[in-house]
Amino acid sequence: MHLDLQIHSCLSPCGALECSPKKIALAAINKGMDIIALTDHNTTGNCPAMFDVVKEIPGLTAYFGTEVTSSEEIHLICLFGDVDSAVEFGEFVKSHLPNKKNNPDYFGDQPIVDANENIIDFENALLIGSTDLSISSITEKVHSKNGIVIASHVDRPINSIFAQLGLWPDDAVIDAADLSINVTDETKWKMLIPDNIPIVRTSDAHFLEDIGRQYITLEMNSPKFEDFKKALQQL
Amino acid sequence: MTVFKLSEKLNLTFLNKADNIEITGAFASDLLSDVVGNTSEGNVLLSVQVHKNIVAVASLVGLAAVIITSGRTPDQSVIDAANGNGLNLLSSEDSTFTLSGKMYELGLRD
Repeated sequence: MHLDLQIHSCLSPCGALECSPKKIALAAINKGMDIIALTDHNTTGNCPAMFDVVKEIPGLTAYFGTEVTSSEEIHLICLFGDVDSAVEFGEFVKSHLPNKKNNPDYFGDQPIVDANENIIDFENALLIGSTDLSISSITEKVHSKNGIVIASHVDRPINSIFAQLGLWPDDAVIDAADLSINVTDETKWKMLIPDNIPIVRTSDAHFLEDIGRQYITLEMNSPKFEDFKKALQQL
Repeated sequence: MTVFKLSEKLNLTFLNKADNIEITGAFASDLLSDVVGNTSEGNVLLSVQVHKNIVAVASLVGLAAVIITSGRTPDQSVIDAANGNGLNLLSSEDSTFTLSGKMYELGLRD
């Protein structure tokens, strides 16, 4: 199965307005994806809409999550198999964001939409900010809800595990490491990333045309999240 | 100047006290990749970064001390790691900017 595990919707401050859950799902099908994950920055606000969209589309499965910014300013993709766990986790994340409001002139609007692309609300929190949650407190919380944590774009000079922490941390249980589209030769990264950490590729799409530009292919018994977790360990 | 002398002059708090090492220079950064790339043995690091990897990076480079600024407090696990690695770990209520200025005045200029 083909999986694109990092896609941003219009709710992410840097996500294009065209990226509604509905259009994301259709673009993913066109690119041959079987499983997609919605991972807006520090919010799960559009996950319920993605759930509503995907249940009408046979052959496409969604996982639900968010790309959280830790107190060390590391981006972590936190994924769950069910929308309720994701939304609960999203509320937890929101309570740990700075008490500042988004300025749409600088960072863009943050619309929450429904399955039919109607804007139902605007998120006012400063989603581009960092939470006050340490990397280890995030991994603990996600695992307690049966989710997984992927260290996002570990090769990038900003907001990556290596940029912020210099070395792979031994106090946080990370389930996989994501390499950005900039990496053509993985040799260096395979030396820096511990052997037991699977390396994945995700599109990190902020525009519809980028969906599926990078993805992983896994042998899975079913698209269920538990089967994904098993398959990931075999990478 | 030694780590203990610096602590005394700037009213720093020891979170973990190790050897009284002679300071060879100072560096201020919160990005540990920056610290790995741009510090050398005997340097003192000023940072608001409280992740445990400050101890790993300090040990890797051989830093004389890490001073956590702006009154931030690392977890006990970080203090324990500093103890296990023989690293001087200190804290200051001053911001990195203010503390850098004070250290510059004391003659630590690179």
